[in-house]
Amino acid sequence: MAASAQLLLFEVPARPVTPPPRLTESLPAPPPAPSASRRRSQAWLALHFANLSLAAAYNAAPLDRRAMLDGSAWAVIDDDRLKHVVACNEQAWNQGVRPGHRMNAAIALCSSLTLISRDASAEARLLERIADECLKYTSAVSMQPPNEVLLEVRGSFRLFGGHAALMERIQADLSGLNAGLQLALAPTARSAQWLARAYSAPRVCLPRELAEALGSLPIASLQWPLPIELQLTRFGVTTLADLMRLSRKDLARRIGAGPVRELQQAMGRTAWLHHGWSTPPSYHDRILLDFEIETTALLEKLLERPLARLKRTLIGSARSIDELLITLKHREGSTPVAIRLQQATADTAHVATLLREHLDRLVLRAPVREVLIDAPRLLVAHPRNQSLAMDPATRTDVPSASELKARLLEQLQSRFGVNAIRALTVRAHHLPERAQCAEPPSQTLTAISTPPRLPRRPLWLFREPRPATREYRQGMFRIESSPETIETEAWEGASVRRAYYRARRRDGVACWIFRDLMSPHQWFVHGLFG
Amino acid sequence: MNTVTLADIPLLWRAESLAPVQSQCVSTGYQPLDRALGGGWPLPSLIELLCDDHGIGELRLLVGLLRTAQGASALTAPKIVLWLSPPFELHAIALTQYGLAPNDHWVCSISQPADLQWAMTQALRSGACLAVIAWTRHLKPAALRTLKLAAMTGRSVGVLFRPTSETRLASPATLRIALRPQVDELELAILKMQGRRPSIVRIAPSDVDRVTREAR
Repeated sequence: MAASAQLLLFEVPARPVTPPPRLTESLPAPPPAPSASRRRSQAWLALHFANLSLAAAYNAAPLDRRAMLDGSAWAVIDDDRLKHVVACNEQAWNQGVRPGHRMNAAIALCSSLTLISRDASAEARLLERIADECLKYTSAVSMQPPNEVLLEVRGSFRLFGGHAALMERIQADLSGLNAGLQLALAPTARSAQWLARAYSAPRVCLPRELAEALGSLPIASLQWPLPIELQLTRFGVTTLADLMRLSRKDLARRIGAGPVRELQQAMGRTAWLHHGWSTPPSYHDRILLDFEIETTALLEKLLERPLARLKRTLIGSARSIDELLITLKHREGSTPVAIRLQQATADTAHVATLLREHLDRLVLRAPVREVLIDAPRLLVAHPRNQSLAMDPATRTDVPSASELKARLLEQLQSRFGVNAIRALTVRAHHLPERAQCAEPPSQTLTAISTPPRLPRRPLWLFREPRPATREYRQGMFRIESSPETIETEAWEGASVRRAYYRARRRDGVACWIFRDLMSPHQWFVHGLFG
Repeated sequence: MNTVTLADIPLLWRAESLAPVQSQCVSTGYQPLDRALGGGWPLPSLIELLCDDHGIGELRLLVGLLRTAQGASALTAPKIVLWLSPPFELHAIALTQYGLAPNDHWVCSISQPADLQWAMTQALRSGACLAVIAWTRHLKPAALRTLKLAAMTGRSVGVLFRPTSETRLASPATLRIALRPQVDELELAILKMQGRRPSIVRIAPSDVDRVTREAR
């Protein structure tokens, strides 16, 4: 069969799989075939990191120390009483150091061995980072501490060009970590996990060879608790095939229900529920400075890289932010800088320009020692439809008009304050000075229709009418229109009665003047026909 | 001693010989002015209006520009008009009477000239603005060039109201018009228009009122 021949590319020939035929007959029929017909079959890819503690320790080390570690033999030791070696690099391995050795034994084998104590939290963080990275291959990611990640990749085969290409790609992407990645693809999550633990080379297991592939696994490679392992050895059980031959009920009584359930899960007879991994709901980053910063210009430069990192995270997980808090920590106290966006975005270049405005206005009261970047919530991004890259006019990423508006508003507001920019609104009121208000622009402002038969109003309006009785008496104004009388009702507060005219001043300026009918012969200028 | 006439200098060109630089214009609503400008307000551009008085019809000149472009972009969200440091308040009802949506008019009062120049540059460059209308006093030629470049980048119109005392200073603006109020009309001295000759136009600012009333 062509398909199976292709799948066997990753098969490890070191251990030929030839279980005795009589055993397979006594086994129940392999389950994945019927289950595939009932619901969509699954393909689980297990990522087992044999040297995760080594990679975590290496990543946590500062740069100069890493260079030192590159050239020498080193090992990670556990925190227990005897200080067992957890993992060691290749040079230490060549000198005979093995994981599981006691510290004294390891030093006896290799006198120049550098020892680093294990950092469990760094390992957990590294695994979380890997799980985040894996979200780009599939959305069904499950983290299995301490050192495994499970991916359900059935839906991703077509996108990545088949399982072989996908596995190659994952290997290439994660090879920089040097965490001893072991990959296995299998129909069930548990079997993929076991295969990944057992084989250092990538391994593919088809649904119909599941029982066969599992049967050949030695019990020792399953990483079960040591007492169970020893007990099974006493029974004479060395491989999973031996185990499967035993009665499930008796086995559960003798070694506990846990391993038996795991076996059932591996065979796909019972479900294994795991917690899915998804992007955390918020983002935090911390930049510890080696030196104190006293100018904001330097800060801008310094924040470029963390912002680029934020952008990668956002784009990788299809998220966007609408708020970013930057805390500048001083020797005592801190200065918060909050950037709030009108529209959620993943474009940190825009955030950087806003940040520049904020920092330009900011006066540092003390040198900065540390910078915290927090995005309190990551929102699900809604990417726009984009045309194919054929059309040169639309090839560049053109933001929509409302987005441009929001960006300009944010930019102006971050420099001049939130209340500096105001949009005009018409309000239903008779008095001209109260018939409009200026509010910070927003999407919710609604237009009110004005009466169609109003006489022409001036474009310039004075906030307060200016008295012009004397100029009027001197004959400065020439009235050019019939009066427009504006009266407010008694219940609208101060009673107002005015007769408005359009008048031209002697110097050619067209004014909107009114006579106060409450106190006769008082004239005021209220606007200009600009 | 040789005499060299201007026509002999090979690299010298005359203003009239230029092909029309502006590809797009918007009608001003005043026919004489349209004719003098070769079609209307150039777009995108930096326009300087030099006047000392307010209320002589200086805003009504621009109504045509603000209205046509707002109506034209019916499919997309309307662009905004940003008013920077206007001398008085804008009357929202008057804007609706001219067929403009007051919500799309943003007003920002800025005291520092440097801030105003920055805001105008950003707004012009953003592409979100149809026009940015600002009242300033003195601006350096370099600042004016920056504004013009920003207007070209964002394909918007920058309108600068400046006092007539700035008339004598050179400016890189696309169009410079000095406004002089007469008894019943407005005299527009076109000091500079790229690709055209300077000229003087007289218009009656009430024209645009009549036109909009008829349009209803």
